[in-house]
Amino acid sequence: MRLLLASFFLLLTMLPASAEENHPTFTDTEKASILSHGPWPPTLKPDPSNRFSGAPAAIAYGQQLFQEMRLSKGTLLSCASCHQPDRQFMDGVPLNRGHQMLDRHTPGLLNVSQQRWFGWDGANDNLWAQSLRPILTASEMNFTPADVKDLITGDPHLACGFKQAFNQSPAEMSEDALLVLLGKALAAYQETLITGVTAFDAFSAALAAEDATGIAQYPDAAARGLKLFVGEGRCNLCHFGPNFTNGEFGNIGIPYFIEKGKVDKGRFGGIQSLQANPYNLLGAYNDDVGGKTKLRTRHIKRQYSNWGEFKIPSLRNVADTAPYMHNGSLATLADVVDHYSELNEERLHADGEKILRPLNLSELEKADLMAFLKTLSAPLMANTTLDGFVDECRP
Amino acid sequence: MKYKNTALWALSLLMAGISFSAYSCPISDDKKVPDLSSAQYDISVTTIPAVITVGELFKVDLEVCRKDGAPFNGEVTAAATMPAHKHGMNYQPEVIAVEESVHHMEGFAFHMLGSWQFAFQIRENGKTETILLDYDLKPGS
Repeated sequence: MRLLLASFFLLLTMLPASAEENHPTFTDTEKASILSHGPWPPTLKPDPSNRFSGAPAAIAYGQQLFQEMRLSKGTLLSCASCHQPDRQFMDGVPLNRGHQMLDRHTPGLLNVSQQRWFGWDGANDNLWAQSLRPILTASEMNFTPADVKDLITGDPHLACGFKQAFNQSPAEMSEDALLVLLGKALAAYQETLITGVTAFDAFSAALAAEDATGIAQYPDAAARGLKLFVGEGRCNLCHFGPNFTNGEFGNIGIPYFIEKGKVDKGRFGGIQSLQANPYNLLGAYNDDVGGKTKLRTRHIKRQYSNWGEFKIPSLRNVADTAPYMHNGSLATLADVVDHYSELNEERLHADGEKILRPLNLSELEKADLMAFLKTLSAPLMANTTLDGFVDECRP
Repeated sequence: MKYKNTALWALSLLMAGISFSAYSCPISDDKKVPDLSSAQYDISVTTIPAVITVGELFKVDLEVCRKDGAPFNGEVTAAATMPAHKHGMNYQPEVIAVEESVHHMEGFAFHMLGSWQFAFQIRENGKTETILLDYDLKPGS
């Protein structure tokens, strides 16, 4: 009997620890960190730098242009060739090929409107300029402003769509002004690519409401992974906020040598390009009369530590967007977790961040982190922007 | 028309008065929190908005008053770092206007949670003083 009682009390003392281990509780600081990853979905506001942002006719025209193969030399590829709608608007390969082999991995476009810098090096400060970059880049779509004008003015359907979207005749415009409007239509379309509520968002809302039932519905492994993410792992220092990125750049030890004698300067080169770009927010094509959108670009600072820095990507839908990193060098999400677990500190920039160190995760911790990351996925939200819009220019 | 001009003049006088009382030396004790005074200067720092958000641009008003009562005739610059991370901001703030004793600055952004430190350099008559101010950026702020 004594043995039985002793066993019973021993079991009782073990139960809370076991439950805690399975579904952890969160400190007030951890709760605040978790809640800072919401709310989601975001409230969509028009981009002040693009007067056609949110306009149904521009969105429809942008969607048409996005799939237009004739926007490339030799009708070789469209935006959708690399940013494939059925592949999270990326391509699933480490490096793709345009007119030449490319050096950087195709980033996805989901929730792209929530970014402030565009491209792995942030060489653009607005989505409409970023949308023009691949069209005009020789290794990608290899078109020129003159080619674009010839295409739009020479095709009755594209010319009709242009007039409907912008209320201007393409034939009477300069090549540059026409090109920028195309970029603004492409941007207006991409701004609608917003993903829905994830299992994590539902958990976060339950946590905020102290809804025990909702909290319990979140998988145990994901909850443990989340605790690691905002705690010991300190992943949220960079992957911060509702879109799981602080919008800036970091050097995480991924090699930036492309081949012998060729280096990817990353953010260092990106700032140089940005400042020289006539389509940046300090230029004549910014529609923001208030000028607030110009401030960040005006104050950008190029530093030696920007060498080898690349944009910190969003983690929404991260489980569905392999391969990873600016050069597509990590094939799976497990490889990414391994990278941070066994980080090679010697590869980090000597003057760079001192926040990274190997996490030395156990197999269980790696699985937990992966389980958490998998709860950040959700399909694209239905596009309600075009409800009631009649496109009179479709062939 | 005369009445309108008079009213405008009165309004501008009123605004000038508000401006003067807001930024005139010496700095009132309630604005010296925390107390950043040095041997030479009384200092007041105000962030705009008061609560800083990760990644969002903010402004700083730096008020500088000489303790000997003479007008401050120097210049100021500002930076901020995360000492534990050994990095600074990704942006270069600058003074955009000087009004009485205050220097209005813009172009600040803290892109990470954690312990930040402002460093204000005050240069006058060939001498430089650096005023440090710690700021802990917490989640939920």
